[in-house]
Amino acid sequence: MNDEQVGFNLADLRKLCKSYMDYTRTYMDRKEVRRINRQRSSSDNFVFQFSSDVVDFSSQYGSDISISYTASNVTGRPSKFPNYGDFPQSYVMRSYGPWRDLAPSRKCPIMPQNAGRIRSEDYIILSFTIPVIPVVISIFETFTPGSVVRISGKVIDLPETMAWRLLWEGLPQNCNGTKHSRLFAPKLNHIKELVKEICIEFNHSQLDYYTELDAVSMGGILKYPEDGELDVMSIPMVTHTSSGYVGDNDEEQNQELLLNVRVPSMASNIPMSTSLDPFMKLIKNIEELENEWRKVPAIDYTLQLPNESLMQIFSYLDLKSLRLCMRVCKRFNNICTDGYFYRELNLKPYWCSFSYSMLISLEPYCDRMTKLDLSWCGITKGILTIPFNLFLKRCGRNLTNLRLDCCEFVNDTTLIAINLFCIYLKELSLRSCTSISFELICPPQSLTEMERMDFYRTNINRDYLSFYITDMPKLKHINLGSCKRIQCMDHVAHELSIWNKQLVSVDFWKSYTLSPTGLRYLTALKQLEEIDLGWCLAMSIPGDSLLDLVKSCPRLKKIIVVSLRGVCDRDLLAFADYCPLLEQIDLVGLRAITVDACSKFLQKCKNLKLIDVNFCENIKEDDVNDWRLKYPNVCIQFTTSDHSNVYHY
Amino acid sequence: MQQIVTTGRLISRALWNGFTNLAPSNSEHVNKKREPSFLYAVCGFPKESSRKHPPVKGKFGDDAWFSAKGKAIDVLGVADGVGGWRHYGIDPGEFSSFLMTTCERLVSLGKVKPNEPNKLLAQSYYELLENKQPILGSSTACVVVLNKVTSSIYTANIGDSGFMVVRGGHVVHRSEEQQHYFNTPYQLSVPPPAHNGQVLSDSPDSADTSDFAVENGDVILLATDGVFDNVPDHLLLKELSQVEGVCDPTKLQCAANTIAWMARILAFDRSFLSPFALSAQANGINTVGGKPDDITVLLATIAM
Repeated sequence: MNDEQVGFNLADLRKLCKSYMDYTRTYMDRKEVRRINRQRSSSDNFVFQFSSDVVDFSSQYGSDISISYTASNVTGRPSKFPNYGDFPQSYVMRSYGPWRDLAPSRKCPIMPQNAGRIRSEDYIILSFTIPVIPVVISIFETFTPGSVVRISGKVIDLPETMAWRLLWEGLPQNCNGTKHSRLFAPKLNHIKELVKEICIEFNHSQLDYYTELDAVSMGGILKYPEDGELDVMSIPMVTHTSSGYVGDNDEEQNQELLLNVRVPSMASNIPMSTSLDPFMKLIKNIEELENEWRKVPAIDYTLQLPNESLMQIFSYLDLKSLRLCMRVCKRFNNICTDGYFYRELNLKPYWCSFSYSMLISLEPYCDRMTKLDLSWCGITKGILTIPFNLFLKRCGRNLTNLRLDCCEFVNDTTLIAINLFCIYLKELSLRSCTSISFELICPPQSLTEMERMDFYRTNINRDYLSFYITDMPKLKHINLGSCKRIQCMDHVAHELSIWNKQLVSVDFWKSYTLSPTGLRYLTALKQLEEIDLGWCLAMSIPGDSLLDLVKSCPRLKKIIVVSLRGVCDRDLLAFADYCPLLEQIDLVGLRAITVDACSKFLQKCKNLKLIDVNFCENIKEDDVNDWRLKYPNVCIQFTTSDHSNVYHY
Repeated sequence: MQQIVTTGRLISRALWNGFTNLAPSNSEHVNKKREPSFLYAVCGFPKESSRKHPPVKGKFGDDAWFSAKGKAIDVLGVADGVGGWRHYGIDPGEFSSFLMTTCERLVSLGKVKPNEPNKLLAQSYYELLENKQPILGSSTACVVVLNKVTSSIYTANIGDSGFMVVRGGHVVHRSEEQQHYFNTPYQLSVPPPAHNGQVLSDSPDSADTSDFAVENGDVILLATDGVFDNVPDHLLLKELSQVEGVCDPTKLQCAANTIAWMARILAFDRSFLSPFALSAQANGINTVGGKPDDITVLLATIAM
């Protein structure tokens, strides 16, 4: 039986504690450490465990059938930590930095004011064996750390829509430049309930490269002490400050890194005079202010504003504030319930409490709704398929954009409902909707306005896709990444080339059945600006097909040819010659690319912004440094981690 | 004198490797249920030991091995990287080592069904292609999966590594050597893109598979061609039958060391009529002597 399944026995705990100390090279005096260890081991209440299972996730770099760069790697003990580098044994997500938002396939944000200060792009839900009251959650990050923005825990034995508790949130941490792995263990909010599953959310926008996660651990107590307050003396809370960088030599940062033993009783030891003085001052200030306000006659300045101006002001509010404004007065209520504010609706930030009643309460104002983002709202299982289908029937007729990423409640009947009721749809995003089987026979298509379809990691098959694409002459963007059920991607490429001449971006990430023959069909798509051929293993010897493609698609701005091992200098130079607008290119793992060709390429591509040459064997760090000096406007991705020991344990 | 020093180092290294690799946690299973498990010992020598490359766990030269425990299965495997890739500037050991460590990960992640050892090899092979850093080369491989529920072993073998099961002083089950032609075994390979088509590459589906019911005390020898090409069967059998039913890890380790050491000596014996030389003569090549090669011995007994 694995250790992570039974939690930890005390000996292991002590060992782990010790290794933590080593990792952090803590400057805390040894006595303190010993005290913590002693206390910990004396309390059987404390459980330390690594995550045992992945419940759900939004995206992964690897493919579902593989074990490289996939979500399942985050379970169990860390396998690489504290080594720093790009390891296939870790969990990697699909994006980093601003590059996706700069690509031709970027999506327009829906109701951006709703996303709040901390917006998340990806999530993973992990389950643990033993439910505990979380005291410390540690995330083992082995490569470009710093993208964790939120941790929430799901309380057991509660309805799912009420179960999620926020444990920590914060802005993405800028760790760029630190070449060290990081043990991220922020100070958690106190909750008194048992948690078995946690959700970690990420924001990659600040990252220099893909972040990699090795493991996640949760330490906590089994029972909350009955005498009310958590007695910290009996359960020492070892927490790292949220900005803790592991293994940094900087003395100042290490000060922050110290394992802090938080003792609440300390507060009462503070002398009264010093603690109360500023407080009294503040009270006085407030009283003075209030007196001043009383002198001013009470005038509601908003009365002088026309409704239109107020509407303009309210249009910057997020949904929560809007709902609060509704309760202020009748006038506000009238304004705030105007359909104008609900033309675009984005409920993704509220996924943790999403329920059908939330949707229903919004329904009266949704008659003019054009854009709806319900991504991640299936996590709480707060809505069933049929009520949602009926909602689409009532409110879907004006919809142009519909995003249902990672929604478990979306199934085949929902697709039919969309076909029937949302006839003006321009965008349909079904990323990671794994519960759609695509086996029900499709009704006659009516989605002729469609411009963007996203089928990333769904079970869509060739026939079903044919139904769609043959009826969508205006289609501009299609994402078929990791669609493992499509048996013959060449056929799909052929149909795309016949029916969708307007296509701007196409994503074939991890499509193992796309061959050079299929790629040749795409030469008919003259408008193509972005093509993702990453990990199309059947394409590994592209022959002349890539050459033909770039010759006939001069508008290409983004090309991803990760791991197409046969791409050689000739192809690279052709990219430079025939695609003058090229901005982003991903050449990871191309063994044959030489330094000379790459230099020429950089010289010729005036618009280049991003080039990724990681794992290109012929390219050495010195060359990259030269290029970085010569082309300061180009972001050249190249990591010099020691790859020689990557495969050995 | 020089030779003695080298020999001493080799022996101590072999012992060290062996002792560190013993599987210590088997004893707890022995009495509870009649559930079989592998008790195993490892020994091996790289063809050329050099001070530049310190010993790495799971590797002897271009050979690699692994052991892993999954849900109700125990798995052992060996792989022999094809040395010819060295001429292309490719480290043959990397391929075999990756293949084996990936097998180990697959087993411990619970992605393996007990009756599909060939799928394990295939999956591990396809994982090579999922790696950002291109790992090129080729390798033979052999895995043995012990299904604890049905008390049988499921094996998959591609190329000239192999296994044999000994019971009551007789070989009761063994693998077949897969060769295209003399000294050219079947192999899993990922050639450099430019050499595609010119390189022998066998699909993982071409692996030989078998299943065999095992009994308490059975001895399983899993080894690379460095052993089978140099040590005649009767010598192997003599050693193996001595450890039948042995549960003492030290004794098992001694036997593994003996076999590896025997293979090492015979490999450098120029006058010995080795199985390799016999095979060469059968193919019209007149030669005698052993075949210097990397040697890996995994010796396991079934403990119920």
